[in-house]
Amino acid sequence: MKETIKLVHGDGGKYTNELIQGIFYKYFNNSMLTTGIDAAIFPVTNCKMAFTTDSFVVKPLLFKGGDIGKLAVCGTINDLSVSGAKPLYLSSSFIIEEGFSIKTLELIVKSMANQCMQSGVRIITGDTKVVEKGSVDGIFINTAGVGIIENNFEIKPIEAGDKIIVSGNIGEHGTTIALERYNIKLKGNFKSDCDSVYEVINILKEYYPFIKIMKDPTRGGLATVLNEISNLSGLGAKLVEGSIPIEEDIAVVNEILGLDPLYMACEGRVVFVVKGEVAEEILDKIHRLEQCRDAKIIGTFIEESRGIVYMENIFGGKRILNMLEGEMLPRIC
Amino acid sequence: MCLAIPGRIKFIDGNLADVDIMGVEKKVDIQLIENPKVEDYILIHAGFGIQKIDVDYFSYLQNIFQKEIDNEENI
Amino acid sequence: MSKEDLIIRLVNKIKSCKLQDFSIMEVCGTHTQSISKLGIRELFYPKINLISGPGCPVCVTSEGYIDVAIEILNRKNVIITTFGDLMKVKGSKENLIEEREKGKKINIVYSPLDAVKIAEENKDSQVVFLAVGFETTAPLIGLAIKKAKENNINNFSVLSNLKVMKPVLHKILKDENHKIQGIICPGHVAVIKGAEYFSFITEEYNIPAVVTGFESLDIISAIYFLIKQKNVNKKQFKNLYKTCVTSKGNLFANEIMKEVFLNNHCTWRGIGEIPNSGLYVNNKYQDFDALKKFNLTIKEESNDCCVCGEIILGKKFPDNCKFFGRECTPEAPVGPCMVSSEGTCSIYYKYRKVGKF
Repeated sequence: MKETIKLVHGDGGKYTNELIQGIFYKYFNNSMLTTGIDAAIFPVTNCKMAFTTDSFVVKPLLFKGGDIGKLAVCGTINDLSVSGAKPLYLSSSFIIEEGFSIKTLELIVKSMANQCMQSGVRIITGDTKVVEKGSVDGIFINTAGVGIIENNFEIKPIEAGDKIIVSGNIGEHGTTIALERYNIKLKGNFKSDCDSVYEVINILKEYYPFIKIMKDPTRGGLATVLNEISNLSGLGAKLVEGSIPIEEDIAVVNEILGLDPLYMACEGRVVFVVKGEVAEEILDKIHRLEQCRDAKIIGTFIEESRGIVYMENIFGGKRILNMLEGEMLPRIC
Repeated sequence: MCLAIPGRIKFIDGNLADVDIMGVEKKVDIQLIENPKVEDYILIHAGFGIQKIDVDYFSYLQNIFQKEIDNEENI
Repeated sequence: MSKEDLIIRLVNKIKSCKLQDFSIMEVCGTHTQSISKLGIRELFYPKINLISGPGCPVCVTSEGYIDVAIEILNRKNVIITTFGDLMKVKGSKENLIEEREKGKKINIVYSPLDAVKIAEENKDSQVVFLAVGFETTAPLIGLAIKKAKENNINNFSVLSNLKVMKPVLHKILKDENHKIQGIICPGHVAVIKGAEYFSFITEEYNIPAVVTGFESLDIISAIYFLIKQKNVNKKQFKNLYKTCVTSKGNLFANEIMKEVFLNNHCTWRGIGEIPNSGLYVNNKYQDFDALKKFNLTIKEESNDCCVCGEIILGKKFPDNCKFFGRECTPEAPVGPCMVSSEGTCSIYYKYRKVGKF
C-alpha cells in the first residue's frame, strides 16, 4: 500500500478495496462487516431501540488520553448509554484529505477497534471518501449507533429536591485539547478523559426508576449541560462550591490560561439527576468503579431562581453560570 | 485586567526558569525579576515573572483584619 | 480564626452596615471577573454599588484599532498573533473570529514571546502582534520587541493599543458629577507601577482607595476598608496587596516601558480620546511598529449611540441606555460594556433573569 491517501483511494476501485481490506476490515474484523454487502443485516428483538449519530472533527487528531478515533467510538457509545440503551452496532464514515498519512489512519482505526472490543460493540458498516487537498482538515469521522433500551429507561420530570451527581473529574478533555491547540508547554498530569460511560450507567440499572435524566457534558462542559436540564425542567439548580470534582493540575492549567473548567468538555463523564433520597446510595454504587472514584453530589434542583444555574460559596456569594456563549478563549486580562 | 498566578522557581537557566505552579511545571521568562533564586515565589503574567512574592506578607490581611473585626463597632 | 471564618465575619459586618448606594469603582477587568465569580456584587447590593471601571482592555479597544488589524490581515502573507481576549471585539464591521472563519491566518498566543517565535518560524510572512493591555502587559511586549530587534527578526511587528491608567482615572475623578466614594485599584498594574502610583486618588481627590489582590479575602477586606471611612473626613489610601506590590513597583519593568514606548493620545472605546493615555512604539524601535511598516493610521469615528462611556465612568447604569436588552444583547452587542463578558452591561444582563439590579 502507498504511504499517503490518494484520490484514487476514494474511487471505489482497486485502491479503495485495498484500503478497506488492508485497514478497515483488518481492524474492525467481524462477519457482519466483512461480508462486504451494501448494508449490514442484524436481528431485532421486540423492544425499544435507540439510534444516534455524531461527527468528529477534533484537532489535534492525536492527544494525551486518546485520538479522534477513540473519541468517535466513545462519543456515540455514550450518547446511546445516557439514553438508557445498551450500545450494539456502530457505523463509521471517513472523509479523508488527499495526502493524509496512511500510518496515522491505521493508528486511528486501530484505536477505534480497541475501543469497540473493550466496549463489546461492533462496527458493522461504513464508508470512505477522499477529497482534494484543502477540502477537509486531515480527516473527519462520523459514527452512528444503535442500541437497545434497557430496564425501560425513560426521562422523567425533574422535581425540586432532585440531586445532581457528576461521575468524575471535569474539564479534562477540553483542557487537554486547549493545551495542544494553543501550544502551551506544561508538565503535569493532564490527559483527556475520553472513555465509554456505558459501564457507569450499566451498574445503575436497578436505579433507573429514580434516575430522571442522564447527560454527558461534552461541548460546553458541565455548566452548559446543567443549563440545558434547567431550561428543560424550568427549575433552578444550586451547586455547592468546593463540591465540583476537578483534578488539581487541570484546575491550575485553566487558571494559567484564563479558562473556566466548568465549561470545558468532558468526554467520559455522566451527569445524573436523581431522586434526592437515593443520591447517596447511587454515589456509593458508582464509587466502586475506578473511573468514578472522584464522583460527587454537586447540587440540587430547587423551586426558586427558576431556570437559573448558580453556585454558592461559603460566604453566601452566588455565581450565576450561564450557557456557554460562543467559543471559550484563553485570556490574559 | 491582568491575569497573574503565583509559582515557585525550581531551576534557573539564564533568562528562563522552571517554575512550579501548584504542581504544574512551566518555563517562565524571569528577566524582570531582580536577583531571582531557586525557591523564590514569583507572580507570573503572560509567560513572564513580573515580581517576586514577599512570603512574609502571606498572612498580612488575616492579621490586620482579624484584629480590626474584633475591635470595630458596626459601620 | 480561620481565613474562611474571617471572610464570613467581614461579609456579615459589611452586610449589616448602615449604607445606601455607597458607590465603589473597581477599575480592573480581572477584579470585575473575580467579583462576578464570587457573587460579591449582588451580595452587597443595594447598600454597596460596585461599578465596573475602564480597566478592561477588551472593553476599551476602539473599533478603529480592530479595523486596522483587519486591514493588515488582508495584506499578503500576514499572520496576526493576538491574546484570546481580542477575538470577539468588533471593529466597525467584523471581529477577528469572523475573519478567522474566512480562512485568514490568526494565531492565539499566551505570551508575546510566542508571537516572536512564530515570526522566527515563518520567515516568509509578516507576523503582527496585537498589543493590548495596561502597564502590567506593556513591559512584556517591550521585551518581546527588544528580543526581535536583538535577533534580527525583522518580519515581526507590533500594533499597539496599550494604555496607561492614570489619565483615565483623572478624567473620571475630575468629572463633577461622578458618584464614586471609593476605588479598588488594579492590583497587577500596581505590581509594575508601585502602590504610590495610585495614592493620588486620595491625595488629590480625597477619595479612599485601596490596592488589593484577587482572592475573596483580598476583595472583601478592601471593600470593608473603604466603607469604614464613610464618616471620616480625611480619607486614607492603603496597599493591601503587600505580597506582590511594593511602593515603587518593578523598576526594571518601568525602564523597559520607557525604552521602547512613548506616550501619546489614545481613543478609549465608549469614552473618546484621552491625552497621553496610550503607549506606542517609539522611534528607536520603529522598525517593529506595524503602523509604520504597513503605512497605516488608526481612524476613529465617534459613536454616540449608547451610554457605555458614562457607564464605564460610573455615571450611569445599563438600564439608562435605550439599547440595553433590546438592540444590545450579549449575542449582538452594540457597545464595549456588552462586548466583553466582564463589561458592566454584560453582567447586568446576566443578572436580569434573577431580578437583581
